[in-house]
Amino acid sequence: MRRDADSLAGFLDRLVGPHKRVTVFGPSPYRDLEPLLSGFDVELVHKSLPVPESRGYLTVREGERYLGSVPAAAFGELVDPARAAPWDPETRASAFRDLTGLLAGTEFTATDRHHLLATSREFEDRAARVGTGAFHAGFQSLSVFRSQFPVYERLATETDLNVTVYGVADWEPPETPGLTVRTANGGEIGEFWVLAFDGGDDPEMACALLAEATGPEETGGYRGAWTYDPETVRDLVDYLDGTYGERNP
Amino acid sequence: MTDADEVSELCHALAHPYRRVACYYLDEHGEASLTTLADCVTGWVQSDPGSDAPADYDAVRAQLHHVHLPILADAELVTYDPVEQGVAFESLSTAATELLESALRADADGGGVQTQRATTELGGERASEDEDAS
Repeated sequence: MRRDADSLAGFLDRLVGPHKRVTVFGPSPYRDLEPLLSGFDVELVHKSLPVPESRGYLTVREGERYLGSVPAAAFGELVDPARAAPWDPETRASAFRDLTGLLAGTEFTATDRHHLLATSREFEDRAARVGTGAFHAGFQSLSVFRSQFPVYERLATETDLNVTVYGVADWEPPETPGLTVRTANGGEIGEFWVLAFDGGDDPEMACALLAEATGPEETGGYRGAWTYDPETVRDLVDYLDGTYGERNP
Repeated sequence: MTDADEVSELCHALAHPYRRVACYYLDEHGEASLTTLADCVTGWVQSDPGSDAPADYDAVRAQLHHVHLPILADAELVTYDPVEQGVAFESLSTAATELLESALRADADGGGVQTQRATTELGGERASEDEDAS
């Protein structure tokens, strides 16, 4: 059921697209991929190919549309994505990024914040590379944001990004130039993980991720999706500014 | 047809990497749709560490349909129904089997140093064994 379009839940419904098919070509099904992809609305198929394991690959398609591929040599990286900072070169050229691009619009469920954080890095990295524009991030509560503060402090002070952070006010971040904090008393801000970058000087770099908590914050999981559609991202940024921008100008 | 003629024809049929990859897949599965073969070939070329040519899916699919599958059909390695877009592998002669196996060894090892490094990164003894065995 679609929900009120003018809400984070409504935007999440808008982000979710048709399910995708991931075909693994290689001598084995690469079982480590299963737990990674089991969280996504994808059909995972193995087609045997008599090559060494390192020469296998996966392809992704959505209906009639072929979206792309990732080589097996990089599967290890997918299973344990780099936890490096967004400006780290290892984060920059990664198979994880390739797969992140291929799985845009695919609904995912996550049992914890681990993969959500890894995916968030990809979006923070895009913003860091452009270095201009508006970057919005909500981690439900500011106490969760606390562990990410060093990353965001650097994004705010070492780039020309305007960074806005959302959360329930259970921690007070230090005053930081370029960093605006918008607090809420719960509501959807307390229930959603939000990342949105308007692309700055490069609108094609726009991206957004939304994930809704499906249980208690400490133990519960998430369902979400991400997008690279500039129009959807712009609408989401406008919504965030329009809804929460007045409270902490 | 003499043995030499057959080898010449096989070499021609397997001269293009798209045709070889299609045969590797078909040798394993017996039959395939054009869509599956196009996925397989496009992904192979895109993932090949030794390849610097970008592979566009639509171009690969069109070339398989118009050029490569008809050539494999002429060489009697496959039958191709261009309307249903279904491909079936023919039973191979001993010469064809040997040639295909040699080609697969060379193609799968085409990445050279990069392939070796990737194998090590995977930490897969299985992968190393496969390479030794192939």
